[in-house]
Amino acid sequence: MNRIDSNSVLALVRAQGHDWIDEAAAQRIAAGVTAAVAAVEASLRQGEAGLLIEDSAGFLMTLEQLAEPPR
Amino acid sequence: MSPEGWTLVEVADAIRARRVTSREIVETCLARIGDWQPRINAFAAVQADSACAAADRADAAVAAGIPLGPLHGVPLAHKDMFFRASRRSSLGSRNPPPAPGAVESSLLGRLDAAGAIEIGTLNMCEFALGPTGHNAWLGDCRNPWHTDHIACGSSSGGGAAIAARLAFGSLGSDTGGSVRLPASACGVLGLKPTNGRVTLAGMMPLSPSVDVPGIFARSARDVARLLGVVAGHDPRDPRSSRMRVPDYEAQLEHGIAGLRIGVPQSYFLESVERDVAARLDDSLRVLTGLGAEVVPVAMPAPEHLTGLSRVLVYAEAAAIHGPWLREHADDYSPQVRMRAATGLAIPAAAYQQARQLRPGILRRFVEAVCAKCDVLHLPTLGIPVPTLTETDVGGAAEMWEKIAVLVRCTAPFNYLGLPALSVPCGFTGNGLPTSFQLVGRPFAEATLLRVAHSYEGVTDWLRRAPVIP
Repeated sequence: MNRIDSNSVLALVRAQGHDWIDEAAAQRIAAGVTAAVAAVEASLRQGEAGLLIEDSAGFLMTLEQLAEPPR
Repeated sequence: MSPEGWTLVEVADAIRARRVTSREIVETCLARIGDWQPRINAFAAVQADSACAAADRADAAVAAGIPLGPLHGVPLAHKDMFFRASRRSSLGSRNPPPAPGAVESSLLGRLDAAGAIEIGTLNMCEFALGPTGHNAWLGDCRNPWHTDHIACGSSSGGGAAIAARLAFGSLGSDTGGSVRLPASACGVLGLKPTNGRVTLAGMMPLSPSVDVPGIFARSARDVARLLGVVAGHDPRDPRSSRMRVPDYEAQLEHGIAGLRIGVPQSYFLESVERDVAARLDDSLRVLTGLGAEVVPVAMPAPEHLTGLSRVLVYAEAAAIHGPWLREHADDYSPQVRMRAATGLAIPAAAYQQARQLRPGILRRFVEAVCAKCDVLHLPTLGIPVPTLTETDVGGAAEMWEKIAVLVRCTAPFNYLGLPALSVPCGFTGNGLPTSFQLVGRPFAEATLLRVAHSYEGVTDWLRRAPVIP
């Protein structure tokens, strides 16, 4: 996967008004973002190609459906 | 045994039976805080006067024969991020943003109603963003077993204070391991409940879809007592579950004969250091001796779970901190401001995908793992507790790597939302505690506590206390 580079990070954070972020900080942030987004991409590749239509609001309901039966 | 050696439930029983007064217990804790605080810096603030006054009221209620709550007269202390309308929480920050309006934590309200006494607020990592216990503003929290070592974080004060017997129980928050890691480092129990089991209302948010309030205590029965008080639906928090709250204490004595304990065959046991691995093996032998069956378990793609969790945590943290951070960046320490800003560059689609993938990944994980076992057994922290110096990297390039080592075995279960309990199981060669972590299917806190209670009955790790040299 391609890295998200520090120039892209700088453009994004400055567009949101965070002028305090310098080149060194942008490099660190780029490393963190790259690793995190790679995990999403890898997980997407493990599923079937197609529209991702699962409702994220259903997470609590999924937990409840999978709950340990009462003793 | 003197009162500081008692567990929370033993103290509650003794107050109820008039064998000791709440005032005596509070004064015992205050004396210990006076001795320990200069060494470990576990407290953000000590509330001696209000705690003594509350203890006197508690003792008067006992004398009057008024019905008593399950925590009546027992001193507790919590991470300084549970709001009370009457005070401003530090949030571990030099310049904490004001909470909107007169916010009151639902959890503190439930503990108050159960009769607990708040003896102070506890040190924490700045804005709960950090697994080590360093804090540039409040001062670093140190490990009571060896003060050159970290207490871990972000609920650093919870682990340190409960281990040093400065209070009898504590609430923290766990977004990537922030209760389980300090519990492991300091040698106490640390529970991260199922997401939705405990209300978030009135707690500082870091990442609302991942955050969970957690519990520190020194016995499984203590954790069960506290969880029974704080668990359950809260009308103020639509994310809290309406599932029935079981009687956790009643299930402790059921034993673990025939229980299947799963040992992961990949990822979690890779790169575990020898000292820790030896203690984990010892604990499995003990559990087997109690009648449990140890089974190997393969699990689907655990290596991506921490990254998926990061996408949620950093995007949500950036959304929450963005406006304050933009105006007050200099009030954040370098590592925390960089981590809080990381989400500003996470693509919106990646964030939404991490959310949408979550129910399906959870379903596949539970179906694969729970078909083979009742609970998972794995490390909480795969290395011996490091020193403050070894982990003091600020915002340097190695920051991500250092953090990843610490949260490797904890953060995956924050993404999955599953309950997890850190249980002390001995000491490594550096004299610091180590633990195993139990993970169960959703809402299986009672099963985790049953295993911990059985283990606790035949080992003495939780009865050992650090001493001032």
